Amino acid sequence: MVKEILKGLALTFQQMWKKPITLQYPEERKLMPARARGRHQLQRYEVGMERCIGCGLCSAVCPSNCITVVPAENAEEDRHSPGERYSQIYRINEFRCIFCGYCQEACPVDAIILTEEYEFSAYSRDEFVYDKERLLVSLSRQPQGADRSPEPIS
Amino acid sequence: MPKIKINQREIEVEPGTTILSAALQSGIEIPHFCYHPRLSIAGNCRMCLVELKGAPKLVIACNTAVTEGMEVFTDTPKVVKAREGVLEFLLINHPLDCPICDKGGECPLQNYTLKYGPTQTRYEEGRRIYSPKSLGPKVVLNQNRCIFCGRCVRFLREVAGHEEMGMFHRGDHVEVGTYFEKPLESVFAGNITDICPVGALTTRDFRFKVRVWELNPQPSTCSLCSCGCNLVLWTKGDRVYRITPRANEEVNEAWICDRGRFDFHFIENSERLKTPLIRKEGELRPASWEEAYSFVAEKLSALSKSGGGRSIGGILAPSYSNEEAYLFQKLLRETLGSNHLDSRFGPSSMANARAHEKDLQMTSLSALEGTELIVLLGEDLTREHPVYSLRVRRAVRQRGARLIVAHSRPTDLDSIASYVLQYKEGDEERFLSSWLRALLEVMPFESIPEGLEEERWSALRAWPASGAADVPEEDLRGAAELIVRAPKVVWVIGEPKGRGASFPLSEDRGQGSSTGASADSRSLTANPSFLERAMDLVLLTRRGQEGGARVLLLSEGGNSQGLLDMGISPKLLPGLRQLTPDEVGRVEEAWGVSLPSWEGMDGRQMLEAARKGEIKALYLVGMDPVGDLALGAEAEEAIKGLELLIVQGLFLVRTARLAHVVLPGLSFAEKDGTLTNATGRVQRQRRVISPPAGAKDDLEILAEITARIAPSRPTPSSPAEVFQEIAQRVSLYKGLSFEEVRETGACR
Repeated sequence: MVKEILKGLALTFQQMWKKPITLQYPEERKLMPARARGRHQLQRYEVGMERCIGCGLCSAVCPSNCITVVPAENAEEDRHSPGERYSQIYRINEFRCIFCGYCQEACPVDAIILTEEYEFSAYSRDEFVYDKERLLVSLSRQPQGADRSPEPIS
Repeated sequence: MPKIKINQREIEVEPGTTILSAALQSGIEIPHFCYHPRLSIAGNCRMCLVELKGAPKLVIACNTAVTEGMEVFTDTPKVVKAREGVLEFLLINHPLDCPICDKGGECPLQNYTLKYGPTQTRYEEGRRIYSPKSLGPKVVLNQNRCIFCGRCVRFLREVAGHEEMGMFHRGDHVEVGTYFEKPLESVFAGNITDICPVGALTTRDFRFKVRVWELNPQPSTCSLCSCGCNLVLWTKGDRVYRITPRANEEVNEAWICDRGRFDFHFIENSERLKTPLIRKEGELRPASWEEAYSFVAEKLSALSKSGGGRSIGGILAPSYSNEEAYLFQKLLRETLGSNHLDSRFGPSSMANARAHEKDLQMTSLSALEGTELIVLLGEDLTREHPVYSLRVRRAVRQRGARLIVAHSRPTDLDSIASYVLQYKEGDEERFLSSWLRALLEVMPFESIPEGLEEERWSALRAWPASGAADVPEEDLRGAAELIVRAPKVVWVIGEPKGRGASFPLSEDRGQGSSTGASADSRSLTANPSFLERAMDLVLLTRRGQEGGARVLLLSEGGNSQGLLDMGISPKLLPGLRQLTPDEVGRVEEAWGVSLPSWEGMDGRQMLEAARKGEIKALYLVGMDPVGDLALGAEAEEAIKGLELLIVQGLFLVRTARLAHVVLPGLSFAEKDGTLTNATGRVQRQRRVISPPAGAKDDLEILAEITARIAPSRPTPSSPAEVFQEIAQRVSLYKGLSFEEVRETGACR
């Protein structure tokens, strides 16, 4: 029996001298791999226009049905995206999302991407339903373009 | 019949068939854009190229007739390459933005490109770019996406007869649009968005609202007019997003009018009634269903005990289903003992019953195709029963039928009519009498014409000649001669609308509100309505021949024929049986119930009796007489004297505001049932979305009230159960079952 105890302790002593894997979160943070799939973000063109055209392919491909897209027609004086269609409502239920990344893959205009962010915490469940305002990347983080003309799609 | 081989498969088809339609018939796919089975062949898209054995070049399948022993190949390398080339050319100017385009997901161009097209574009030059063009309030044109197949142009010209669109310029400068950039006015304009094979034409109502693959298409039937067009309701959750036609050769072929297509948004109106209302202390207050039911049941049974059935009347709008109509008349006749039943505020007529009795009623629209002469009498077909006008147009334009239009206003079909007899509005009586004179001159009768009752014949002959009603004498004569000479005549008869709809025609017109209330005017001969006079003309011209004349009687409301079949008429029992003491006796015996045998009042007379205090309770379902322009003030006055006014419907309309009880019912998309169209075709209306909380199925409401007043008798309450009872009791519907009328309906 002593033999077994010593065998076990030997492993313990071996590990004691190795570098610990534990990170002192939140002071220390792990560097995420390049292809990590975290919270979604809706992208903009460099001129500030939304990339999303509201086609609904992300919602169609989503295996957990967590994306809601309600499209609407762009008006010339109030243009949200290039082309005729834009997403009037874009909502993701991050609770339901399984972070498969199919939406990113399906998107024909690279509007939706999965960021590295994985820290989800909130005081109510409702806050996990992200609307378009929270999903869209903020304008200040975009380089400002000179004009707002849409980039031609072909 | 020529035998041909397509891809080694042997097929036998009618001579004269094209390769494309032969392939479609046998389920072989040949991609095509400009070809449409219901339009003429244009042969301009070049998509349907196929290889023929022995032919040096590829041929288009849509415009090549089959010949004996022809061998066709649709998938040889040559064909595959040609198709790819055609698609590449079509896509030169077509934007590759399917995710944006609203046709995406149901687009033939998208599907064919995926299946047969090139995977990459080689085109580097600029595309033609147009800004979107508005074609009026209904349709939007995005010419960037157009492939110039011309389906829209051909549909409007050939089918609708409203030549509003055209192709302009030539070659690669070609453009499509409306003449002089005018908005589309055709009532069939919506159909061009269905047949457009790309996203160039879309409806303003639906575009960019939702993606089509998210929608759930469900079959139903239109209840706006008695054409009874078959529909697909596209729903998502509890909302109807769009309505498109469902093909039915016996009814609407593949088209619907724009009213049927766009007039459904009232379903989601936030002002829909969601709780019953009961008048307490002079005000309508929300109440529970339990309170409402017991209030109605108590009041109605108390009134029927004290005043008898004669003090209660009921009017049901003609958009309600057969089942609802049947239960409604059951409540009024069997439970409350009243024959005051109607579906409108005009004079009731026996025309439908007579047409049925004499076996004159048109039971299939195909009769229109083989006829020599069509007479439209008092009916603006394109406006009131639009889809039937397409058949008439085709019969005239393509089958060589002649057309006579008699109406008080210019109508859309005037342009293809041989004779247009335009009389003054309100002058129907004089017009009919002078036309009758002309008919009798052309075709003198020695004895009573076969099929015409003696009393009607003598009434006809005694009809005073009262002038020509502003219609030229020679036109009247000419039209009469046409009728007499034509071996087959189809009469399409509508009631006069507007003034004529709410006022009885003839001698007591102009005497204010006392019209029609006198005892003798209720009998059949003294004050025949327009429809009955017209039926006399039909019978006069029948000449005893087999199939010599057919009549299509068109009234307002999607189920007007069904309502008459169910006995929603003061003069008719269910099954279009005339209400006479003998007949009532027979029905009582067969059904084991007791029914009132006196003749009831029509809607108009009921209002008059209500004003005088003879009728104490009115049950209105889907009706709003106070909101009616012609009737309003009079109805309001009449209704004020009522002891009990029950209004059932979707909205708090003006009449409902005066009611004692308001019961919230359901819209056409929220309930099951059957509708009978003008040709007697019984078709299903379906519940495709769930109703707003608080409102109840009209059938359930009627069944519950009936059950509370007469708890001892069993009352069927589901549409299938009610239909079963109808099929048992009403001879016209014998042998039909609720399941049988499922897809495209069944003839009664």
